[in-house]
Amino acid sequence: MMTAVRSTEVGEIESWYRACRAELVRLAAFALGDRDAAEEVVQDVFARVYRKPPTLRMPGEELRYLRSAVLNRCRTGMTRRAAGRRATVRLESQRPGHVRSTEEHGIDVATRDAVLAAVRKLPRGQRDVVLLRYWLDLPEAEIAATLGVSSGTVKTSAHRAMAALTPLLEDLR
Amino acid sequence: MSRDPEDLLRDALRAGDDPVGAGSFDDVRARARRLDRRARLLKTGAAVIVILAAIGVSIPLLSGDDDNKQRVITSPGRTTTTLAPVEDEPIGIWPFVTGAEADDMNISPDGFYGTNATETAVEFVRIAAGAGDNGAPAPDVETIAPAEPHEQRSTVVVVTIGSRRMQVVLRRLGSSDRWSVVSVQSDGLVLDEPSPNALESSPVHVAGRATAFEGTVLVRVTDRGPVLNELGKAVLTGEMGLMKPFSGDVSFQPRELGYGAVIAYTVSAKDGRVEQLSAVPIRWAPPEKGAINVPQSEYPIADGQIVAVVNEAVHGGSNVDDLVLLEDGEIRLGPVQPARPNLLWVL
Repeated sequence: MMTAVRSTEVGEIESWYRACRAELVRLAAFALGDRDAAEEVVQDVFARVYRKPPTLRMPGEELRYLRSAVLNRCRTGMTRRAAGRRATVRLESQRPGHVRSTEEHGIDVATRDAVLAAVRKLPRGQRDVVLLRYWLDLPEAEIAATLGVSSGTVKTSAHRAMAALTPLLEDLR
Repeated sequence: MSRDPEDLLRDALRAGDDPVGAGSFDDVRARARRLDRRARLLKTGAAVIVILAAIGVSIPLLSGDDDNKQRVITSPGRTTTTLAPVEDEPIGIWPFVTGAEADDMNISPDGFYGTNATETAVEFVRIAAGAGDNGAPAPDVETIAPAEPHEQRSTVVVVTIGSRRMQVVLRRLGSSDRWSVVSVQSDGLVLDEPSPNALESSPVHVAGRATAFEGTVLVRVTDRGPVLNELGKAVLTGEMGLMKPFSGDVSFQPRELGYGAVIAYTVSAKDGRVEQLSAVPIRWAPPEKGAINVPQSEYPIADGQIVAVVNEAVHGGSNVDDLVLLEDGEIRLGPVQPARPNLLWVL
């Protein structure tokens, strides 16, 4: 049995935007490796949701819906446009003061960049699972629902991703 | 300091997250307005094309032009075809049936997005050849002629299972950059009937030529799209030897919106592994417009109950497409579904 289906009010979308935008931008930035393109992806997703609000099954499901839409958008429509802008963004990211602070995690910038580069080289399915599991700490069932795959696929993807990343991580630790 | 690789990964992902500004929802509204304008422009453009086509058709009629060629153009069938949205024509087998499906960014069968034609071809052959054959091992599918990188909207990928070759034809449906398989033809298994996209009913007559052990060809009728549900299956026998004919009828349970595929394959006498396969898309008339037969043994629900229609490929099955009432053992769908449903929830 299931709960009642409800339509989303247009006004709700603005509150979703305020609440979820930061996380979604970071998620897209991890996936694309490009902060400007990530902002564009998130804005595009919200514009489409604003035009055609989704029908959600239960309250609180919007974050899963938006994560799913952002990851899908990263994979499809926006990637080519993002690639065209990458050179510009790389230059900007080298500005003084743009270097990320990492001390509180006991990890240096070079290590962090090496790990992120390795994560971005993973196949898309594995990369998305890694982001949702190790960055957002989502449970397996939630990851499966977000990516539209089975829990078994999530486990397999996570296992393969860790198998690929472990040699690098062993070297770095 | 030494630490667990998983912790190191977690720390690396979380270390020094850049602050993200609040952003302005006005930008979102502005973008939505731009998208609206673009959609209106596209609609207007399509309307202008239709009007111009209608004028082109009408002038010879009004002027009494007796040219045979013009008469063919003005036949009712042609006019209807021109007016129908080409992007919604069901032409794919997997993972997308229509351009609208391929364009929908929320549809991603099992995390597979299909922007690489070669990967899409290999994945389809793996799925179609590996599905449910008495636990036989999955075949080793390899590519010997990958898609050419310059191909824009359609391409052919040649794959092998062992020593058997098959050509997988793919198209980019709609305006998407995602590929869909539209047919598969093996060198040693040729499907002559049904023809691609033929309108069929159960049982569908299947005929062709094959090199098969004891002349045995297995045929499955499946749904098309992200999930290849088996709707019917039969073993057809022909003659042994090189490219001998086979034929027979395959009964199936038609359902959903009437798009499906006939997948014929032969298996190894040694280990039951699929050796070669061919596939063509077909369509069938639904029992009634927008009606789905509900198999009572699987869904013990009674007339008068409300069910939710869901497609598992959209948002992990969490998005409800429609709410419908069960009447006479059937559910009648409302507007055309964004993606074909494959799940019902009883409320």
